[in-house]
Amino acid sequence: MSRLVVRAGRRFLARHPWQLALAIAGVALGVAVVTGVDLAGTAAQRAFDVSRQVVAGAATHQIVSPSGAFDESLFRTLAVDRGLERIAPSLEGRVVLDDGRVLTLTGLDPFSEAPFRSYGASLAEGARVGNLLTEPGTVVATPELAADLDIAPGGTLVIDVAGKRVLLRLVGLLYPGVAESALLRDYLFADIATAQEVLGRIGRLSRIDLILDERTADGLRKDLPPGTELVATGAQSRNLMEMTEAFRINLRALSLLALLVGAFLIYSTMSFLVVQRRRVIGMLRTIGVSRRQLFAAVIQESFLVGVPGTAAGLVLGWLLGSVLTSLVVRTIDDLYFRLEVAAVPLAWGLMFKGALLGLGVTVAASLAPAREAAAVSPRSALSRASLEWKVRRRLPVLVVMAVTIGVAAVLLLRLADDSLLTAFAGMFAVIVAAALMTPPVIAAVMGLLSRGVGRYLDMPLRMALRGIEASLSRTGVAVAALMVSVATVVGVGLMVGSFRSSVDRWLADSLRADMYVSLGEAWYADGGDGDRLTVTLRDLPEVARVTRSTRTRVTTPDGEMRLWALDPGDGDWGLALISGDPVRARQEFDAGRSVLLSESFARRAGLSAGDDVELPSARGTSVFQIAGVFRDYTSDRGVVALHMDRFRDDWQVRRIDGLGVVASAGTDSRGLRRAIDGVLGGGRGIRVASNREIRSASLAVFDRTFTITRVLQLLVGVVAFFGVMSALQSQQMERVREMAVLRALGWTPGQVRRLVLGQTATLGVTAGLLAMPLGVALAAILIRVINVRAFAWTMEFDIDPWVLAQGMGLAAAAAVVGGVYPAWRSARRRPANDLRDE
Amino acid sequence: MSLGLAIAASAALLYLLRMPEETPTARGLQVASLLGDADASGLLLADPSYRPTFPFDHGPHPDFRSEWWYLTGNLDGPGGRRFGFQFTIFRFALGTATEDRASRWATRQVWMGHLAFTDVDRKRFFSTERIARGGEMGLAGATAEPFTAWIKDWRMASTDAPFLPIDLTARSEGFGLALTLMPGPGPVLQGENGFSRKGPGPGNASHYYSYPRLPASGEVTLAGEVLPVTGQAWLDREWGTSALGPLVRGWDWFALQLDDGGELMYYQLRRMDGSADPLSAGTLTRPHRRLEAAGVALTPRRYWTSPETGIRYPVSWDLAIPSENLRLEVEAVLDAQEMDLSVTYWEGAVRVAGFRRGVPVTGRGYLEMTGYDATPLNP
Amino acid sequence: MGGSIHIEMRGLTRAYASRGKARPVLEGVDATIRHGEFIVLVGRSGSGKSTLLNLIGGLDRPSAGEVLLDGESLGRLSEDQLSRMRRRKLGYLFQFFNLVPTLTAVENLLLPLELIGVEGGPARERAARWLSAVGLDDRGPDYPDELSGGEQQRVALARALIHEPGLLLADEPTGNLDLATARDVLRLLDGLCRRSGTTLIMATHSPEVIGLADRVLTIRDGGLHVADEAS
Repeated sequence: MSRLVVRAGRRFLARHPWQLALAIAGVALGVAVVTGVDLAGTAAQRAFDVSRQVVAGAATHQIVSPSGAFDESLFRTLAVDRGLERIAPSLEGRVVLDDGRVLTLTGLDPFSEAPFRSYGASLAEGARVGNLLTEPGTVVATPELAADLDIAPGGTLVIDVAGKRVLLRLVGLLYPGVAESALLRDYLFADIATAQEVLGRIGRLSRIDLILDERTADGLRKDLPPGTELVATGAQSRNLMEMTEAFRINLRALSLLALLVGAFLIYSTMSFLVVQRRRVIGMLRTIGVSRRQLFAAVIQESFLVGVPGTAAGLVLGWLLGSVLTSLVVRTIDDLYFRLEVAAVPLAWGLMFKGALLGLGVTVAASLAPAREAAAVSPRSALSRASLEWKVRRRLPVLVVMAVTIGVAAVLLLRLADDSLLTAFAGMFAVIVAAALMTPPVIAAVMGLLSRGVGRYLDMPLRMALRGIEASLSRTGVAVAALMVSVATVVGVGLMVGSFRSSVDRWLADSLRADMYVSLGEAWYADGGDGDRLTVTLRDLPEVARVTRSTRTRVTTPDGEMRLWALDPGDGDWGLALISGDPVRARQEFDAGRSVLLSESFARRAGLSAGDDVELPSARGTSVFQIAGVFRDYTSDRGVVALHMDRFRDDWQVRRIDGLGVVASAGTDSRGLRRAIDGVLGGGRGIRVASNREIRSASLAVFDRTFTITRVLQLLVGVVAFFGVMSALQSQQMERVREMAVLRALGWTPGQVRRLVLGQTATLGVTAGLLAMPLGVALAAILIRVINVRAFAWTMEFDIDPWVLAQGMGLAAAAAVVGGVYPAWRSARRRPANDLRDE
Repeated sequence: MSLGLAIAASAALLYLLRMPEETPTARGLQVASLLGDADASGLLLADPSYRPTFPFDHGPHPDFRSEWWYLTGNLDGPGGRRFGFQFTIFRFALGTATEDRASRWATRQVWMGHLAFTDVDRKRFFSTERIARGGEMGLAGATAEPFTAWIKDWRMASTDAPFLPIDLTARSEGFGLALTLMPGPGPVLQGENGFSRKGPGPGNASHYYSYPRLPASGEVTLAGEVLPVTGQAWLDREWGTSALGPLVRGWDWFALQLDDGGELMYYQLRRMDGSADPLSAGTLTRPHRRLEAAGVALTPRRYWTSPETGIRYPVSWDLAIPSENLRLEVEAVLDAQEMDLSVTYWEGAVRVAGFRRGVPVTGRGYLEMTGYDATPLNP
Repeated sequence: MGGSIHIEMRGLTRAYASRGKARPVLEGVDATIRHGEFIVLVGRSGSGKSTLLNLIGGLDRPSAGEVLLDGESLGRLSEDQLSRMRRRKLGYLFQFFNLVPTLTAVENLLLPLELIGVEGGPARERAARWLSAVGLDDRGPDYPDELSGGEQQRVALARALIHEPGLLLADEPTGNLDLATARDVLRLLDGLCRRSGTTLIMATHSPEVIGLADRVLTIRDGGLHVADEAS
């Protein structure tokens, strides 16, 4: 290890502060994005775990019923006759407060709960916990809820349930952990007897929690009465994770892409720094500095970039993590389920990983330049021509490598498996192959241009073209980096755009009614009757048709299944079939004999039109034929659609979630709205929205969901922009002396400026143009492969020219801005200064 | 709007087994405090003029605060192996019924079961507890005719006669007990016609009767091994409301079956200062005569400290009844027979050796000791 | 260290493959350079002066033939061994790019010392002495871009000799300097080498040097000739 060589290198870096700073910024941003996404993921993961903990506690299994509730005598059979030791019942139902807030009343048997959950409790003054059993109508709640309701233990609250007003008395407070507290904010707890009485569900239970070993579970499963299911809680929490896995993988991939771009920039910068010092390196080799010493010196220098870059990146990453967390949580909240995250935990493990990643990537990106430095043979350092020639000789190698990797990429992508990992691997391989192809392509293009078009250009521009070809060793990497980043921005932009227009089209297809009425908990609590309302609306002269819809989730041993009960009446059902005969399917559907599967469901379950599917219902299992598959973006887990009448029969659920109202001929939307409002009166828990309002609200959710993607896209763009700008800039600064020679020969400052700007602009435009096909390819992969594997739905591929234009603009801007400063400097410098001491 | 997750949390009632921050003794208080705090107004007090009648009084007395069906016994297994067992079903009333409720889960009775087993030769002791609510769900309860008492799948029930013989089954995690109790002498009414006074105030008393010697036979399942056993059991029945007086900290209760015929039951009520309360009392059988505090001298000889709870129990006693010319040494067959459940107490098989009127006498029995921890119980 | 090196060239040949054609620069050169000799190489541009110097210094490998330094054939040495050999036995002086621009003058002098393991006090002392020897006593802390061309070459000279190599190879060391400065540098070079007995081989255009040399060799048509014979 030569200290002086290292010292010389350090000072060299210090003399190029802008390059150093930008390389550091490249590392910092890459590390920040990866760490931020990781932190957000961890925070979400913790929130999952907490909600799983709250859901299942220590229970290994649960008995539930597809129709929601089952007979309580099953508990006695299991606890007494069968002698199961760890078994606990529960009954849940919704109650509504005066202000319309909906709470969940949960009834439990305190004597059974100990093995499952334990929350601290405090006794209220003047009331005893035993009162929960002996006094009907008593509840406990978390302090947060008590504060919300503005009651203290001993106080009372009034609720509406099933059309009755009931007085409840708060006799104590619950103290679960902080995270659980957030999730339990809308819950009231009571003794199970009280719950049955208040909810009017004497004789029923919603759930039985169990702790069982597998053998007992298997034996039990067979003996359960029809209408009840034994599900493993592991399966449920797996479901939670699976639901958002695709979403999180997408985030992860985007963050790795950011890191890849950052790595590219580090490589490009370090490689510049080496190339700029070839002569010094050659000289050092002549006086006996060994290859190993030079290699080590460059690696050490990279730490000067890596360490501060990583440190800054971790700090930024933590900040970014907080921002991303709230975005992620809000998205999951919007799309999947309620999630509460208190604060972003400072996960030291993750920070350590981020640090390793930052340093690792820096060193890895510096390996090639370090090797290059070590490979400088003492003799050839003195002439640059041979370097370029060597690079030129390497071009065919690059082409071969690019083609090989490209073929590998295609193979990976065509692999018929379902793995997201191979899909992303394939995508990265495509990117790498394209990057490798860039220098050869530039060489070819510049050669063609200068030979073809050269004669029509003036001197500066002609030299610009030739200069690019000649300095491939320096420009190649920068252009590849710019191209990859622009392609990423374009690809992601095209994908999101295509998705959005597909969703928009689908919304237009699905929303067939003019107005939609949604019937909520409070309305039912006030005594609303969905069927009666349907009839009343149908009788209105302004109304041509009323459709009914209910969505519910059914727990099966394989996880949760979403059912959509639909009664489209006589009109268009708004389902876009992608397989199955539409006419026959409609007939079968209306007859209640068949179901339709959404695309995601069909893909995941491996089912198609003509197959049979078994659904657990109140009758045990109901078997249906699949009449067709329809396009649906409401859930990436998939939906099973069936006719409402059949649903009501088999699932014993009378509830209607929503009505669609179609106006009769000659009625405008205002008139329809007025008519509907007239029927509804001022009831609470009921909402009316027009077709257009729903459409824009849905798209708003969509846009919110993709905020994260856009944020990451922006970051990639920023990283690319600055990094490439710096690379091009430093390259031009390096050539300032050459410009001085030209000036000495008589070129005007204007001509010099044109040379410099012409060169960078050409590079930029070339990068941009090359980025277009790559961007389209990336978008195609994202849409056709990754989205399909992640979410199991397909969408139309729309190539939005505006996105392409933005990409070109980004490339050109980076290149031009990168050239402005050097152009100005080159033109301004006095040639004498630069010619001295040549 | 249901998110499809049946999020349940549990109410903070009896987290008896899950309060890691609290000491076991304090934890034990939870039940006691729950019960102690519960409103005693409206519940019945033991009545000196009441004389138990059977089979009616074999059943539950829901308007009294606490009650138990308490079975202990010494058993002999194959190869001379010696065992002891305790099987008890407790009932606690949380208050008096105010209204009829529609739910079958509604109840004001809490039932608890204790099961303990001593393997003398292997020096092993095991105890477990169950708690269940009463009510019409049939999870726990008792009936007089036919006699049954059960908590979940632990059960005592008469086979066909009004009371004895009784079949008993209990199971817990690899341990099983199935015994048949044959008729034996009794019922022996303790105290004055079954009215056992334990304190100065009205109601500081319970109704109490025993079957002091019931031949028992059946099977014990220990870690998968089924062993036939025979022996002698003792059934105690007691019910009351706030039986103990305020000065009493706990008691030492002896139930001894002597080999020369006859049984001895004596409870020493222990005061805060450690001295015996004058209301301590007992019974000797064959012939039946009552024992009073003045006539019984109890001296602890040896102590054992529990490694789990740190409580110090006298596990060996000298019991002398001068008027009977009876001197007995009562020694635990195994020191570690502490029950560390919602209530902490020591209950275990003992061996008896001594002299009655100069003639050597031996025997077996059970000893129960409570109140040796820092805070008093008040069932 | 120190002393001088005896050089032997046997059948030394170096050909370049350029755009498909093989261009021989040197063909079958046989020559001996004795300990402590001052040899000047002359020849037209592109005749192969630098190539020969590179071959002698182990910076380049011959297409055929071998170079022996003090009897040791360079062809047998690995890259690593060559590096180590250069540290101890050789000194270089080029026309430009002799100095590391981001090290001060004195640090440039310390560099070869560090490579042979001389550090700390003794190294600094030696560096100070050599700075003095080339007349730049107080310019130690200056960076190369703060020195004139001549001053840079003087530091480079000191750097080339500070580790007392047996052989100094100079490739047009004064090509970039004005006459007066060039003369000063040459005088220093000659003097220092003679004093330490270092063998010196210089490729040059400068006529003054020829006078100072022990022998003048010309490269012409791929071969090495004694200049005296030619002229």
